[in-house]
Amino acid sequence: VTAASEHAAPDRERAETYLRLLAETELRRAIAMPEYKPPRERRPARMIALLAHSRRMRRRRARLRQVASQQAASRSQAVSQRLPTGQPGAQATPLPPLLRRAAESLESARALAAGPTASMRRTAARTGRRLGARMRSATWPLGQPVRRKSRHRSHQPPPAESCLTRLATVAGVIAALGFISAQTEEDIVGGLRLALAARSRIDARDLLRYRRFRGQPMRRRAGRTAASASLRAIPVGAVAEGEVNGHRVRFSLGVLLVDQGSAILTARARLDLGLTRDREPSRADAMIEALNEITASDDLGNSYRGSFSGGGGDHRWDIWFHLSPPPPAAARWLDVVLPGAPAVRVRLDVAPRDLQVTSEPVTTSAADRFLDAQTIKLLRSGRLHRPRAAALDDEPVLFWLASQLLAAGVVTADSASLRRLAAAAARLGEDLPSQLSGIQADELPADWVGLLAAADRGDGPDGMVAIAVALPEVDGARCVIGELFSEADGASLHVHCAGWPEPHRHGLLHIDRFWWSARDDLGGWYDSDDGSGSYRNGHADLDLRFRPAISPRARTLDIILTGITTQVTVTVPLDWQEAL
Amino acid sequence: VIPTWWAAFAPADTSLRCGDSTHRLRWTDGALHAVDHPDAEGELVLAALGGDATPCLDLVIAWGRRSDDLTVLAVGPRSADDKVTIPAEILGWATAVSGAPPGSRGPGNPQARAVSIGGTISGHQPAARKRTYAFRPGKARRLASYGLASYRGRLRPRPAVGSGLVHGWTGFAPGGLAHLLGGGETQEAQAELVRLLALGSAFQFRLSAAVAHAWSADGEQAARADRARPALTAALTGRLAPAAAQWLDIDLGEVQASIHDGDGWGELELSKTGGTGRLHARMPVRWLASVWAPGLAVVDQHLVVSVVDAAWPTARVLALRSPGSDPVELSIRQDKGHWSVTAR
Repeated sequence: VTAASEHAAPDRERAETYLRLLAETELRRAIAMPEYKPPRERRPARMIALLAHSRRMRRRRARLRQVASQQAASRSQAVSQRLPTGQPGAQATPLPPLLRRAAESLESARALAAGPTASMRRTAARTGRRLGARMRSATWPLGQPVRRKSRHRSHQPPPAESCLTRLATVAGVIAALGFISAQTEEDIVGGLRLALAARSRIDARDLLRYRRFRGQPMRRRAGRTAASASLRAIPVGAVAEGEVNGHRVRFSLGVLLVDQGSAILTARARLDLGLTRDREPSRADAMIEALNEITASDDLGNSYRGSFSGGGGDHRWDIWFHLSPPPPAAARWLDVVLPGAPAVRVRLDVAPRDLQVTSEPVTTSAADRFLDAQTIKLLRSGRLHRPRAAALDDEPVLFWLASQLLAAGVVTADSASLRRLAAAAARLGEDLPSQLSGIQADELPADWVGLLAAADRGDGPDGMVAIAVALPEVDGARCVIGELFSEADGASLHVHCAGWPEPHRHGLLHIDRFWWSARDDLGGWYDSDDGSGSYRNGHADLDLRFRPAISPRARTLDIILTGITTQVTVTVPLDWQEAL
Repeated sequence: VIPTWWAAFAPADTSLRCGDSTHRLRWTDGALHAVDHPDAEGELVLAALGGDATPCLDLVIAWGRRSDDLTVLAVGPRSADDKVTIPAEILGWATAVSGAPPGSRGPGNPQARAVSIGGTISGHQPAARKRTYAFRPGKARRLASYGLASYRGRLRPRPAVGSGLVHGWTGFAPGGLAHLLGGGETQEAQAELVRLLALGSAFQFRLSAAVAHAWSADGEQAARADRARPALTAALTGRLAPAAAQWLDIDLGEVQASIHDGDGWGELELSKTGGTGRLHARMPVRWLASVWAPGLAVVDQHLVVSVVDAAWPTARVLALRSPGSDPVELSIRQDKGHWSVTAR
């Protein structure tokens, strides 16, 4: 972050060799373990399932036989009635007009009843859901003892699975840091997986399940969708009072993101205090129903329905409202109707904000940034995450991982990030493992010290800034920053990205190729934690959490996106608008 | 004169269900013999043109394709004690992905483990032995011509069935595996590998030897060996370690191996720190193919480092009595699967 670090070319061959040798070591460990025998399905359960199935099938067969015999009887009756007259169509002739009239009467009756019955149906469905939710919440505690008792029957992973976990974790990190390709990572981890399965050390069914997902977009990598140059953001920055299920809800609209073929309106909702205290289980359903009924119309007479994505909890909901199709370029405004609120006018013809954006090369290595991010997390939480028994050699995850990266040549003994990790360990009174014992502890950067000192700050301004700025491309990704929400204990930033890789996740480790941070005009530094996000086909909607709370005296904020090679900074005036 | 890499290997035989008959397959002289398919070339051409390949030839093609696949070294056995027994579920999956005909293989079939075939390259075989299957991995070459039709390039086994499987479940594979289909080349490659490893221990070592040879200095992939150095280093370490542990009674983790590129057999050095020995070795990739795979690594407390001459079941080898000593020439002989010294 602050201290410069070497930016040597990665030694790919050394890293790959290390990983392949690690695979050999793990295979050796696994071979020393007993073979895995998957538990069999319990016989009584299987018998009950078979009996139930055969009864079901017997009933179905009986019903089919009954229907078939009825049809046969009516057919033979019709034949017997026709035969004496010698005119096969005689009895059927008057039927069509009668049938037609009956159908018409039914149709008109249905049309008359449609309105009231539809609302009745909706009400009945809503009541049913509410009752169902109440029953679930009421009966949940009753099931707890049973669930607790049967917990020991749950799936126990084969012991050798930990060998695979260790390799996959290290390989995942090294691949994310650009030292090996995704294909090499797949080869190495897949090779060990197959080797373990071939020796019956892991459950063969797990191997097959794993294959099911191979090549699916759930595995990050560079986004398949190229960064779109036409992505633009329109600031909205409006607040509306609405109502959901008889309760007040306050909506704060952020920005409208318009891309080729899609438009997303970002918003945040705060539920009123009475509602948050109300523990009615159906409330979440009511919110989703209401948010799915958001509509919009433009000045050209087009109307839009869309879909809601997002979610929330007792107090707050984050909302992405997807309009389809996007408003045409000629449209000048859009009226958005939120649940129980008057229409909010969104101007589409506003000029983009003139914000200062700078781009510069990155001076730190990806490995250093990764370790720094983990060290900051460690310092913020104040405690080391320890793995399950034997999963990661019984060492704290971060120390274990740092040792592996050092051995793989991804970082060197004089790497600034390792020295900072040693300083963090000393600050927390933790001993480094023997592999890292030679690392000289450095001073913690001033930024980190400031961040830790302000960790408990609770005086952040309450408001929103609709930033709405498109950043220049960073290492293949294009981002549009939506709005910044600030609260007493922190801030969050909505970002929509194209060409964005899904991050690696290994347990509690979150490995990203990009790093968000911020710095205010007073010199205060802010770090983003993992936050939340949704990823699809190279697009991502991120909800980044910044800690600590933004200083109430800050007037501008530099939001910084750091990639592998490029760093982009946008300076945002903190003109707080009323939010929630 | 360097002996051929397969010179110390015994022939390997097995049988498999092929159509309505039980066929014999033989691996010998580094090549694959579909003994009961006298017109193997013709059948291969038909298969390449979309006809049904027989189970024998299906496996032959798979063997040829995997003969330079480094995944074989990642998955295959590390020593004679390392038993690689493919579980029935995985073999069932592999059979389904490869599009093998129903009933020919699979977990429900008693013949599932009895499939055998082997071999990698030809060119050394007498022309009269028509049954010899020829396949050169990695390179397009004319395999055969049949009437007006000819085929050039790498064969893909049973394209019609294979492509059908990619798009849908055809119902002959074990139930519950339909979701696996739709993989791609990697999946097909791994499925082929699984089927080949299921042939049994003798074939696992022969396939490993073929791969190691392909990446050795006189192999077909020698020009690309630099890129494969990490995988080859790991393969060498993983196989030298059990041999060295048996030879010197040291811990498996205390063996550090690297690839020797120059002439000669390489070098070995034992360092001792705090009572534990650590072996540093530089060996050529050829050692894997010509020494380790035929089971010559340790003979009568000697570590064999190279083969001087071999004609199974006898061989003359260079071996070390201890690290740092000069290699001595030994005459050895295999009897009942075990190599022993006959003359020093």
